[in-house]
Amino acid sequence: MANKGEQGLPGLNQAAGGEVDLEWEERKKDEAIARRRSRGGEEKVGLTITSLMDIMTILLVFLIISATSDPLNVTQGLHMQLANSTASVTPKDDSIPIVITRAHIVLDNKAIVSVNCTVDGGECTEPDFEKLNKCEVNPTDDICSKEVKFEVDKQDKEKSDPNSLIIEPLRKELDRLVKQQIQENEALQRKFKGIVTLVADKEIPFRLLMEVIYTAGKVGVRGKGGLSQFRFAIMKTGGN
Amino acid sequence: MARPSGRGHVGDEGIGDPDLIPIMSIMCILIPMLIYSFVMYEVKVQEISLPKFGGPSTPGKSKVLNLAVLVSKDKHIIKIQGGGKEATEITLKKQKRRICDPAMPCDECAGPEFDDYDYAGLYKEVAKLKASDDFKEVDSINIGAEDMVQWKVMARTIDAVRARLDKDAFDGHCEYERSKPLKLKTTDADGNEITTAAEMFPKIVFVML
Repeated sequence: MANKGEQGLPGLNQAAGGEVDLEWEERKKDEAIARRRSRGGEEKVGLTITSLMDIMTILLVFLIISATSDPLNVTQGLHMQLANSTASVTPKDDSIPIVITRAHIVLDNKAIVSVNCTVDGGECTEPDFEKLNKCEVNPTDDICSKEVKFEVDKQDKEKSDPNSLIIEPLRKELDRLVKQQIQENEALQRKFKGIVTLVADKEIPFRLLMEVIYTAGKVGVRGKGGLSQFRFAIMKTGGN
Repeated sequence: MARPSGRGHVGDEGIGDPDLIPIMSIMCILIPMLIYSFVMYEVKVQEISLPKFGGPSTPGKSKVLNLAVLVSKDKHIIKIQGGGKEATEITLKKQKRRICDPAMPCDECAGPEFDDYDYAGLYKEVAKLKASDDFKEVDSINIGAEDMVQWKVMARTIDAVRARLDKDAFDGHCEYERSKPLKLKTTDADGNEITTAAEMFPKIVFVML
């Protein structure tokens, strides 16, 4: 039977220096491996992924919460680029969002009205939209100085009058939505606030914005309120 | 005699760790997908008041002094009318400016030259008006535009008249672009010190021309 002194117990062989200590530790490790092998044969050394799973779960929950808690879920793309501004009011989830893209006016995730785009009298193409999106970094591009029109077809206007400020399909859909929200609020004994958030593309002209605002302003139920407060969604920039 | 519960024997058989690899695989797909769709920009809102359709029946005779900024295709016009005073106009035409790399000093801008609205000039004039006795107590401003003026121009015009910046005037557009909003330290109802942005005309009223 080997005694501890022969195995080189640390402390007893201090005089021999650090080398003996290292040798003793190596031997101990070999013994431990041999013991483990004798117990379970060839034991598989697997990757411990439990801690990684914890990190992944936290990350996943955080991302899901961030994605769903945003009251204005704006997806920017070819037809929708928000205007930059230094405004710092945080959007609330108690408003009705009206999205005005370069192709449609969207309400309640449904395209209600088509928006026609023309550049120098011709219909806009996808490369035109791509170039328009780059006007802030490349303002010398031809399209940046051209007149790009975004307008609603006269058939969608009140009495098919091109000068009318009322967009008929939008008015009807807003009317339905407002009545529904008023009923829901009454059931919950809450006051209908009548806030509209306009999520407009940066290239949309003032005329079209005013048509949407005017149409929304005409919607409501007598004595129960209508749409009276307007907000524009913008992309926050640090300076000016 | 009661049958021994089977639950006690489960541990003896030694159920191993659950196989987490399929769940990990799902997560490895889900997380990049969510990160890809994650909004990397901050969406805020700019409040505006309802547009006023139609002007006063007797223009220029209003007892209240009105300040309006009108945006046309190539200029900003500041209109001051009412209050028993003679109407005045300040015109700020588009100016040449260069795209500037944020890392470069303003006087070394070497980007392409193009025409842009004079937002720095508009801010300077509106700040001057706000400092005058006539508009010290006024917090609303009318903003109107020609039909074809884009929303991005309106948003920047609103910025120029709404908030006070760290300086009252800027040498050029580059300096104006890099300025920061002026912050004021005040105390709330509980006596705690709070920082708020200094404002000029926070109430924006859209008007049709």
